[in-house]
Amino acid sequence: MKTLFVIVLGSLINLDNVSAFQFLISRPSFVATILGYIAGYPLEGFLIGLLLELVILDFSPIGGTTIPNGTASAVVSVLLLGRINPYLCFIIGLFAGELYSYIEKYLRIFRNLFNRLVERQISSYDFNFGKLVILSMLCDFIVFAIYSYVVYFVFVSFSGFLNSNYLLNVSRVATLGILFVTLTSLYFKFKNQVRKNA
Amino acid sequence: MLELKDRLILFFKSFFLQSVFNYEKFQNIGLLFIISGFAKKIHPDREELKKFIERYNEIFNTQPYMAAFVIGNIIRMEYDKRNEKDIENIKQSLACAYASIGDRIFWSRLRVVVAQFTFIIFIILYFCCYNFGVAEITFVSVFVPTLFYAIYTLYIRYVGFLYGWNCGGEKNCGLDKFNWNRIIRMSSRAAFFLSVVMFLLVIFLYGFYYITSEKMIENLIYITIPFIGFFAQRYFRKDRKNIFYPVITVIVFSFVVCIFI
Repeated sequence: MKTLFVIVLGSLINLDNVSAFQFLISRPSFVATILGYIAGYPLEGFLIGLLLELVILDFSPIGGTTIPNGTASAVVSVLLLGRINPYLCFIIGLFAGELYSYIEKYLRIFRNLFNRLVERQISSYDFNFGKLVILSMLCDFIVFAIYSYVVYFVFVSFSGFLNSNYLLNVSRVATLGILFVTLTSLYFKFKNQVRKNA
Repeated sequence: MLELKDRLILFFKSFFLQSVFNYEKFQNIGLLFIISGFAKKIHPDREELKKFIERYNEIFNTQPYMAAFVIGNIIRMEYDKRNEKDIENIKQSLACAYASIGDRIFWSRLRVVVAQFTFIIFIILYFCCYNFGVAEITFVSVFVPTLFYAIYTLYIRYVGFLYGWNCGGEKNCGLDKFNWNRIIRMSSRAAFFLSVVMFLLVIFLYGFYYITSEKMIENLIYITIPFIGFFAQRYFRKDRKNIFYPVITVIVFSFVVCIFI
């Protein structure tokens, strides 16, 4: 039941990413803290979310490009907390977010069909576009929820194998390494920007 | 005139500009959703309304927060019954200009600053006010920067409509109302300063928690891993590869060195 609630809430918050509001409540640290609290892991959720966010900050959603989905990363990581070690949850979440960016791309291509619906609506003098907005957000919600559940289900099925001591060490060392990759990336990115602006 | 009620409706609807984002016409359906109510007011005739809607069912793409400047401008021009070609030209040129400004300020800089503040607030609260409770500390750390960001974007969206409406028809509408270059420069500096602070804090905490003298081989790995992360990032950034390349390098390195733990 808790899993279902986390997926539903995560899918709703994901709408903030592109579809509605853009208040940054869909950023990984925010989502992972809220969902981590619900799942009983507030600190782990927050730390994983913050690390995910640092990685994803390397990408900018400029000009309609799709970037790794931080909300998907956070939801998958929090769902796996308690079943797999937290370091591995972070790494799986990170790649789950990257994979979702491809799904997002196909969703945008799929939404081209909405242009046909708009043309049909206009030709029949129906100017209520609110229903298309709702329909599109519903599609987003459903796809995100199914994706989160499938990824969660796949990795929980292999949790016996994933909980080995060797993988715990690997994921811990890798997580620390990724932290330094992200910090280096941020530092040089803004160092160059400040130098350019000077 | 644009009454408060109309303004609020436009403002609320503008949150859904990207809801039907597609690769054919980008934000066209979102824009139609926002302006259709206003269009019904100024074009009570069905045929005229249809022509109006068809004109706006074209490619439209800008930064969602800055869209308010463009929308305010075009509805003012429509209200004043300006030439259709002029409206289209101004709409597209403003959409491009604001997309560039908005992407630089919000997506490339302020989004990063929010995450950096989250980290720094957390570290301060975690080490100075531990008796608050972990859940409370994490909530404050994520809520406070997000709240400031959300309020700032709401402000930009709201004043965007007003500026757009007031200077409707001008090609540089709203572009000179804020010193955008200064905002970009200041946010770059803030982000750089916070990056340095974060780097120093992480190095200090990392040394404190991970470099212990119990097992020599583990110590060696923990000393090496920051350098691997650093050099992997620099190596792949030279070729403009995305961050997943150094991330995968670090993971592969971890698989190898953990054989010795």
